[in-house]
Amino acid sequence: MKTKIAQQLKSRLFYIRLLSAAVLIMSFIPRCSPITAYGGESSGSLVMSLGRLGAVINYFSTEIPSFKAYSSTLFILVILIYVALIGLLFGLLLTFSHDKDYRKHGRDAIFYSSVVLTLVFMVLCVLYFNINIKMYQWGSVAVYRKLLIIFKIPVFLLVYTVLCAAIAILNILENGFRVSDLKYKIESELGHRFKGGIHVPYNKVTRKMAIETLPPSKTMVFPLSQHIGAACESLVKAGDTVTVGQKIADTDAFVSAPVHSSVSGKVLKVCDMPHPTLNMAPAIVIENDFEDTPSDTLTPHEDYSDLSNEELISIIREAGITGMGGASFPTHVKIQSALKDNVDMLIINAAECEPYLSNDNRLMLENCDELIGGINILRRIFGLKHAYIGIEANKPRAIKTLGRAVHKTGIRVVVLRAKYPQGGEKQLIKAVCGRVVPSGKLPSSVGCCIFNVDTASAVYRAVVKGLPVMRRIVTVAGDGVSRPANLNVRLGTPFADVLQACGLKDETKKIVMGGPMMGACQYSLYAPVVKGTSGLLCFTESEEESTEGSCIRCGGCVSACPMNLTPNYIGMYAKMRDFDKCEKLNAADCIECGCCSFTCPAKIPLVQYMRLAKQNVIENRKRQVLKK
Amino acid sequence: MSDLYYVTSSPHIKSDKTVRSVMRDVIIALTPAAIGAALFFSLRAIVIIAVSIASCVLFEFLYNLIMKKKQTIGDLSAVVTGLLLGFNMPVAVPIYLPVIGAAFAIIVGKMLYGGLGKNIANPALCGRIFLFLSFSSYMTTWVSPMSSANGAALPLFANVSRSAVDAVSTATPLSYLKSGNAAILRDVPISSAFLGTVGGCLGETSAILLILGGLYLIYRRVITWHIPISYLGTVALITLIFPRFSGMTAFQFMWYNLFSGGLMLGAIFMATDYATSPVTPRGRIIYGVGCGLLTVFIRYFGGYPEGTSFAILLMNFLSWFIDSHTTPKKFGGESRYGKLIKKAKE
Repeated sequence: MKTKIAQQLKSRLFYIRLLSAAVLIMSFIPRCSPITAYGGESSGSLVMSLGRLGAVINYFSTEIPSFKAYSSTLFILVILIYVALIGLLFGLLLTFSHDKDYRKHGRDAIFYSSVVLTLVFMVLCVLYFNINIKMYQWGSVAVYRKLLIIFKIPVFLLVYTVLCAAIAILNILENGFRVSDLKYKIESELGHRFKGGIHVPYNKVTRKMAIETLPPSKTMVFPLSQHIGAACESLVKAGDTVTVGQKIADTDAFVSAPVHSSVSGKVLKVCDMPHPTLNMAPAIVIENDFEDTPSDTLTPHEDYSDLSNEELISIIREAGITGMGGASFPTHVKIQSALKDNVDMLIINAAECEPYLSNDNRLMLENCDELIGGINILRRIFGLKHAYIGIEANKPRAIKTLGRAVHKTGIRVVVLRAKYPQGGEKQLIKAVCGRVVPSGKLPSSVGCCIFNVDTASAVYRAVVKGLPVMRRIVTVAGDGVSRPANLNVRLGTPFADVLQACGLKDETKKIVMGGPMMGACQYSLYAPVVKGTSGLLCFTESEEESTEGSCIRCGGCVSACPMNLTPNYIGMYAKMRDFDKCEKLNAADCIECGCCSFTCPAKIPLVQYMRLAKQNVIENRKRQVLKK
Repeated sequence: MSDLYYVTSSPHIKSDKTVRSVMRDVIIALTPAAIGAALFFSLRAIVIIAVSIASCVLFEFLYNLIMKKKQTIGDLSAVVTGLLLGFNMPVAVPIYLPVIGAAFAIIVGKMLYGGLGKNIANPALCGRIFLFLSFSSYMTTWVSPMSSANGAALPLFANVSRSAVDAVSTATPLSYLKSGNAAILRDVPISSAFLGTVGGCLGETSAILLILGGLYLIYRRVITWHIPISYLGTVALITLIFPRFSGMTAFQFMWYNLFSGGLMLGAIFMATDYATSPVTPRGRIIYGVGCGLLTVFIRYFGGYPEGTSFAILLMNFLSWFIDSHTTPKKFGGESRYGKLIKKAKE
């Protein structure tokens, strides 16, 4: 009898191993396993890992740890049966849904429920039908041995594999199959993790405050350079009258974006004015006549389906759209260079990982339709079926609103674990789709293109409503203002007017444009709101005298660095002005996110040193290229 | 509205973590072991630890004063050094010994290099090894713990007389192992080595209290798991595969090696000393494995029964070297393997 079973097992073991290997391999191929195809349930990755673990155990083991107490085992089994039955019912209901996504969720639910049911059924079989175990035997080793048989019955794996194959075929039929998918694995809607990063105190006090509109000021300032790239040249001169939305500055340079007036009135002068990031820069000063005479620079296209890509891109250029997240890279340039690289992943950056800021959050809650419209236009341009909105898990209301809005659209909301710097381009790509952008390359090199939520809305407003970039949402917060708010501000409004509306306190010591981690300090309140102004933060804390301690080599910066650098050594060598060493330590890859400075217990301004190192390394490289 | 604002480099918010808070966490983590020392070896243990701490702080204060440097005793690192130095002494040492040790540890081990973060060897270890080599007989006279005779034999402040020590002295588990004495299983069972009721230095005997402190440090993210786990893991693995004691099973031998001597104190608190250990994750594992190998080799082949302090000291000197060879792969960078393939193709 014993030998018979052993023989049977021997032959079965072979099949078990074969099936386990098949399951394992399948689980790593996108779209060939039920959950790794685009989308899926949030719990998918966990279930998948459990499945993989099971397959690995099955492959290698001839012994498996068994249950200890049967009364509780029985209890768990019964609960599992209930859960599985409910899952099965819901899954069946969902498969009749009109929505493709829900049908897929339904199939997933049916699949996992049936796996659980099969397993539970087998355990019950062994416990109560096949093996006759007396009460006093429970707990003895012999019983555990007998129980192992259930893991040696390949029915479970057979069911698993057959279901995998069936669902994979269905998925491929629905979504099509591309070889490039094999290269990139998209795990589930609950995003991946990126290495490093820190948990910052979020302090998002304004996140529940509705957007208010700030009336324009008497004098408006429009810097000619509000973006990365070549500065514009003024198209108007002192004494000219301008209208709302009129293009007042432009240039022929490729990497650039025009500037529009956000008020109507008279041009006072064109001269150097304080700039939020450039110290002093040429700007057009306009005196507001408060008439808001409209202009017709752009024609609205309610239906843009007959516009060609070139026409859409030229509208985006003429509207002066730049990245609204803070870096202000001209959007039309980004689109054009991405189109050359065959982008297959459109990602919308809704992470908003900077503390205090809540402007993107409010935009998603209040102007969701514009956002979705903008994403649709961008999808049209790239010819993509899908788009992904990467959002941090600490914005539950926005996730809900977006979830409702993207219903049946092919846009997916990817919920990411809150961690700074989630909104960094490379980090977000890693978190949303698991792709790693090679060092020194653009996101389009791995087929990704990222736009901020505000940029996507601006695209919608430009194309459908014919409005150039004239306004933006600015979060005003910090302990230096008595009335924090999310304001809809016309570009060109001086900071002084914005802050006055929010009650700037006298004891304010520091004013920051942007988030507290990467924002730029302001020395003058006459600098205006520009396209990249996401927030204005006022701090009253008296900065202690720079008490830079000596490095205690705790390694905190090394584990916090999202780019996997060694900031302590780079900082040290930068201090010694040994920039060759800095280059060897990859200083040029620093994204200046501020994690190292934030976490340093000795309060060393590491970012400052990193910037120094980075600049010198890049200059050295340029010099070497010139020499050659 | 004022006209003058501060302009500084980003980031504009900083974490609450300071050197002082980090050192405070280490002190909290070491407290259970200090209380344990008082329980096992009478109140004289507390006196010795207190003298050690006080003299460490005093020497750092005096050094800064004489050399006209900024006062640094506020960062509490001298307190940690004092605690660790005190932990590394048997209870019967004369009261002036921790003072000498503290002078060496703080002045030679730390301040002459430029202070905290610039020293190349753990100051407490420097002090301990200095004392161990200069006052060998004091530093290797162990008193049996929890003994009723201890109260009489160990006065609070006065020196302990030779004869009194002989009455209460005992051997450590490691000296049993070194001499191959089979009575170890009867005299010092593994459980007492784990709890700490064996002869040894003040703070190193109780593995459980030290592990508790280590868990606290990992929970507070003061240290990472890399060094303690790789260090203890290496020791466990080697002692399990190559046991050198015929009277017991390999597992028993492994547990004795893990729980006795300064290994727990060394692996959790000394080897993880920030200034003298690598900062890269990979480097930390290499460092921990190196410490483990050296510890076992000294215990197996060296002249002393204990090898932890020498092992850590030797690895301390290598930590910068390890760091410079284990720079982590940058995000989006090529792995070494990929680079090699590229080279081969060319």
